[in-house]
Amino acid sequence: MAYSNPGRQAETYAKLLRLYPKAYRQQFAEPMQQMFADMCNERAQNGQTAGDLTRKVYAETLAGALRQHAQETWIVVSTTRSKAVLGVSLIGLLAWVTIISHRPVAQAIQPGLGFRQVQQLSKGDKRACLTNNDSAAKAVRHDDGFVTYKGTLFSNFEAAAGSAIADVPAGTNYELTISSYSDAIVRGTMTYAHGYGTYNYTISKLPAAGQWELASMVACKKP
Amino acid sequence: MALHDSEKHGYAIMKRVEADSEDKVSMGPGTLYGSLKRMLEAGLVAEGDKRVDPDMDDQRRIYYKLTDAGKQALEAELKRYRRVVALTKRHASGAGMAGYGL
Repeated sequence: MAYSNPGRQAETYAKLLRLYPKAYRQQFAEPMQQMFADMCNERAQNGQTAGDLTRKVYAETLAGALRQHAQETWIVVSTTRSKAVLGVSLIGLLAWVTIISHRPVAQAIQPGLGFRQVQQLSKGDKRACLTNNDSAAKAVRHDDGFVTYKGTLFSNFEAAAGSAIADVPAGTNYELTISSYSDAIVRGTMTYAHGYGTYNYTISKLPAAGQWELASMVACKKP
Repeated sequence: MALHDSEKHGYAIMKRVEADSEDKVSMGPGTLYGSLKRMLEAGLVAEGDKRVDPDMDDQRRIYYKLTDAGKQALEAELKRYRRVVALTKRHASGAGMAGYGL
């Protein structure tokens, strides 16, 4: 008999029964396997293949396992204590979602603002700072212009970046990374010394050769 | 209803349901044992002996039987069906179904 010498279909069915909850399996897996074997045997005795039957039974088994899990889950939450736990969890989840959705995000900063205003606009979640890209930096250097001031050569690009915050004391150092340069737009990160912050900037190339203009910036977070 | 006259194992219950429904209802093991589980929990059905079915192979099978509560529930259900059938007959004969909102 097929039951005493289970074939591949019986083995597959036995594996599918593992999808049922443990308690259900312990009580019914054996008689269910027996019944499945009986059904296959009946087909075999009638000279029919079990293909159609197994597909139906496998689908029914999957649906049944889902149903039993759903019932067990409902039983678990149907006690008063479980309902209270579920209720508190849902309220917590709702509160968390509300907080996340209302959490402030760092705002775009227009150049020329004072540091206090920049600090206000920089509160909240920040995007990651941009990393340097050597080929973009090389392209910017290629297009950059320079001016001489009191015998020292200054980069127009660095000067544009340095104009970001109005009241940063003269001579405050800043580091620049250049992440991308395309369609006359340069993106990168500048980090001021003395706690004046780190920002992702957008600088536009002006039509005049070697000239740049800081378009906007936003506080960023270093990884 | 398949258990009203005698204890049966799962496969025999399935065959009885098929026969009673003139092959219109076919239950696989998942559906059958899902129903049995609910009826066991409700106290309508109980597990009987595990024994060999002389008409089948030498495997021992768990037999299921109706409890007293199950017999009462079956009787109540049959009464309800008889009432529905009677009402339907009256309706078909033009007597109407006054009082039932139908």
